Amino acid sequence: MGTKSFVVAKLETPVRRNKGYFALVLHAHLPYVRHPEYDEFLEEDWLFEAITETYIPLLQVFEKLIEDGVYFRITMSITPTLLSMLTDPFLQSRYLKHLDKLIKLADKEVARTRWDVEFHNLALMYYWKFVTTRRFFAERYDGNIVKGFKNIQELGFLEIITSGATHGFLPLIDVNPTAAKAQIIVACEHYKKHFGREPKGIWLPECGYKPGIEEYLSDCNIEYFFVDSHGILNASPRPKYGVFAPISTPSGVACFGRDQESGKQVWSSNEGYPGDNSYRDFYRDVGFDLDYDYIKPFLHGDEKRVNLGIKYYKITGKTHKRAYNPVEALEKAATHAGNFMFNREKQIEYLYDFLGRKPIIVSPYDAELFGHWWYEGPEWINFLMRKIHHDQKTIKTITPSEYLKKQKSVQIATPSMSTWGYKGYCEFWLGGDNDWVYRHLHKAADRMQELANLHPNAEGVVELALNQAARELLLAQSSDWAFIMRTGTMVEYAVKRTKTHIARFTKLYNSIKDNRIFPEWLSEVEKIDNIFPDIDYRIYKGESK
Amino acid sequence: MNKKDLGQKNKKELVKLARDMRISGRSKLSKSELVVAVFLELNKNASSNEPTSKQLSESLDVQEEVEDSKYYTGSDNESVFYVEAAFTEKYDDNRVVLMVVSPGMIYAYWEINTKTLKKLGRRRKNALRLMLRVSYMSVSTQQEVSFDIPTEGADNWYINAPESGCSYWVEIGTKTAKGVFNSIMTSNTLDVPRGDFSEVLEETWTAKESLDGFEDEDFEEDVQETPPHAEEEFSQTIPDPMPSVAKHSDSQVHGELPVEAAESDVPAAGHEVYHVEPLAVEHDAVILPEEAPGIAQENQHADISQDIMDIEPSEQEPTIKIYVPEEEHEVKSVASASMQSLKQADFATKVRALSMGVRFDYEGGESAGVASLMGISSAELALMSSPELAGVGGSTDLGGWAPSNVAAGEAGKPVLHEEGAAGKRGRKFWYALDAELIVYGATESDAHVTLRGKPIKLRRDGTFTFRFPLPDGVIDIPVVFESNDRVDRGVIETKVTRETEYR
Repeated sequence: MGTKSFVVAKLETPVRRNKGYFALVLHAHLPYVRHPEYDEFLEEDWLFEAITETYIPLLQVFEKLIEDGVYFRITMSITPTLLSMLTDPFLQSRYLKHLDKLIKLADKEVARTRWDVEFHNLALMYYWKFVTTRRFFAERYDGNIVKGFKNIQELGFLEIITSGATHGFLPLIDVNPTAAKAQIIVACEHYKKHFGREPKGIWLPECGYKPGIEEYLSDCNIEYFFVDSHGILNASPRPKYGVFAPISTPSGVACFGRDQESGKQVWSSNEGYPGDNSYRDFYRDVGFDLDYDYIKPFLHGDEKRVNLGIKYYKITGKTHKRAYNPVEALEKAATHAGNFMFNREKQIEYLYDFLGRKPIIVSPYDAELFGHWWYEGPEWINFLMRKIHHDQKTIKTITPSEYLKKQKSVQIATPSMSTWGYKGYCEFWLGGDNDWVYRHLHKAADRMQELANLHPNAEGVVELALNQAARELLLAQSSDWAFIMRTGTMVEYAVKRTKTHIARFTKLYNSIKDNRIFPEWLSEVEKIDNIFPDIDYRIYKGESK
Repeated sequence: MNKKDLGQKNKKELVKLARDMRISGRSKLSKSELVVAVFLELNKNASSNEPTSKQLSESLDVQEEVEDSKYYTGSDNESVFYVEAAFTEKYDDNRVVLMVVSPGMIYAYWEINTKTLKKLGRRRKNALRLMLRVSYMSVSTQQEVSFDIPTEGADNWYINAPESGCSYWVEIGTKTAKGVFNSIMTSNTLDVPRGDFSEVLEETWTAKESLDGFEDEDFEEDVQETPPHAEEEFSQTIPDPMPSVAKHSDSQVHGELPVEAAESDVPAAGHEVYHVEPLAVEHDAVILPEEAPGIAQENQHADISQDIMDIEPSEQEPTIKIYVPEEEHEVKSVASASMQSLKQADFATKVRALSMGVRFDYEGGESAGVASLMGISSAELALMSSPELAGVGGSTDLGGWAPSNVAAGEAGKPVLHEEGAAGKRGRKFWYALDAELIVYGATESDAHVTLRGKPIKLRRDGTFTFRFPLPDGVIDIPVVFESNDRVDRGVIETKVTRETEYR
């Protein structure tokens, strides 16, 4: 079944003299996890949970806003790894299986809780949510929800941007500039293939920037990127309007800075909205709360307890957890959206008078914050966009490319090296837990370049091997592996993934060098690490140091 | 569970415990820090609202937690995934690579191949003493500086970078007994970021042909205030914000700083209050502007000056003065002598503060008048700018800002140097420097606290902050904490020495 096109209500945009702009930026990313070599695989749940709780709810919110004639602009990065997984038929079918299991569990829960009204209603809520999700996924979008996001981009409400090919952390990969540049080239090609045009903007993985990276962006016709606040504040020359106006790098690519104040309202552990006691608790899951034998059929092959996705409690506070109340939580989300809008109005009114121009407030968040971590997050966005449309005149939502078009002149400056991670630099991705990966990543990058220079016109199995080597290098570079090693969650998997891709790369390198390629092994690896089918290894050609 | 039991757990188990307890920022903690955090949490009296370091900081620490949650399945099993056998730890290479960790720290890894090692071994029968020579081009002295670190058999090293904003490189080599360094290999050259504001103030702007299609109503409005075209490129000096009327009297013409906008900052009394208040947990309503002034008392940022006023100036101890409103007025009068320069400085300072998430309270009236003229108090900004507190990396130096420094000078005047005013053909080169001290802490909200013998008033959450002038010499700041019932007691004494040298 094709995509049903929905009615777009006629937009009667009121004549408003807004005083500034608000750009909500959602960064959607997951690393490439796809294991056809196993019957089922725990870490694939990362994707499945995010589809159920974040990507589909967001898409539903966007569609409903458009149907209701709400004017809104949201910028969203969908990283090439996530895009590849969402469009992969194998993972799509596995997701359906996963969803069917959830529906079965919810059904069982409806029966189990029938004598307990509070929990019974929650079980029913989950049951209907999963059933609706299944219909939305399988029938409306035929398993490929990217179509939905693409539609909304074409209608102009959403600006989808790209990111590094495998979310490689550019400031540390850039020891070999060709390798950093390849992350950008592959990402842009991949975007074009899926969205039919060039990406206007990019979310640099982990907001990691160092001077020079803008050159790669400029070569790929990217108009803008983002940095954290200090990337702009410490830019040289000093930007006159701080983070409230974009700057232009000398190569012509514009750079937007993250607003701290709006960030804090959501992220802060003390003041942030998601920590409110009424919201659903992420960590309490039936996978751990219920009797083992009861949930056993829904666990993975190893039959160890895991999160299953049905969560009955609200945050409540540190002690005794109370049952989740969806109505109360929704009301809270509306209140928080109102509070957020009120504060942006005040902020923008003040900035407009103070700066003497219309400021832009750029608020980037991990997309998975909304729905997966903060269950009510998509509804918060829903309320926020509706309130901004109906209840005020000060703020207008905008995409960075639209804002740039309005600028007659932009200050030229080079941002400072920065990331949006802990303490603002590279500490999170370069420390005692994960520093060992870089000697391998750098070595593999140099070797890839060596191979590309040695074989500028490879054909047949050698070309296949070279392309596969490029894929293995890219997959090893995902910043997720270093991140996970640091946080202590699922460390073994991250270590093994890094080592495996490096090992496969090394094997390919040696076999190409010795001219002894094993076609069977190669085609086996091609099937497993099948990302970027159209990759051309020649992007790694370049001057060796 | 005691600390020893906790210590026997591995990091993963500790992270899991911490997660269950919702200890924020856990992913950043080392194993030993996790043990302490979990231990404290376990032993926390449920009723007491003991302030932790967490409550003093306001970093964006949920961000990593959220990102972490993407990978959290609840399982702590070994991954079934297996590693292909061909993975090797080393490459038999001669290579040393340098990377940035932060403006204050760089990281080097290296490998020396067996051939080189053999060669070295032959030359030197004794234990091989490999050294890491770190070199950089010092910005302050414009000279190359080097120091050596014995590698002690390691193959990587975290190096404190003495200076930021310059280029570093390292060499691996051997050092003879006489101190002669023989280099084996050299790393890449690494630019370490400054970590604070750029000294370059010259502005250039892109010119874009105005395409008719783009000029919508928004654009029209933007035009009046948009900076000049590149054709009229100009170099603007945002002056170092010292009261020097002569210097800046004409900068308004060149600078196009929105002076008008700055003037309009002092709103009439009763103007809407721009104020953000964290939502109280059980508080359902959106906070309306009318409510804000009352709530402002709770706001940690807004009421620093309030706290400062709560203390009576100490007459017996002239070396350490505590701010009183009168002094703020003095600042105002000094400042009014050179409104223009201050406004320009104020603009730059405030843009930075706003960009860092500082929230302004514009209420009109006395104290707010000063605040809106001066921007925000330096103590507050300094606190905000510390990366741990503000979530903004590294920007601890706020660069040129005078107003509060003016006040902090020992005699109420800045330490101002005018050099060569007579000697060098009337050149007006000047510079100034001063320092202040910020003391802050926290305890039970109902505790009794005295600072240098004077009782002080705590904020509702039990925290307090004070800003002092910091004259040369030794300052002794004893702080006595006493529980409400005067049973528990503790003293923390901080000694600070300041030495100023003029060269």
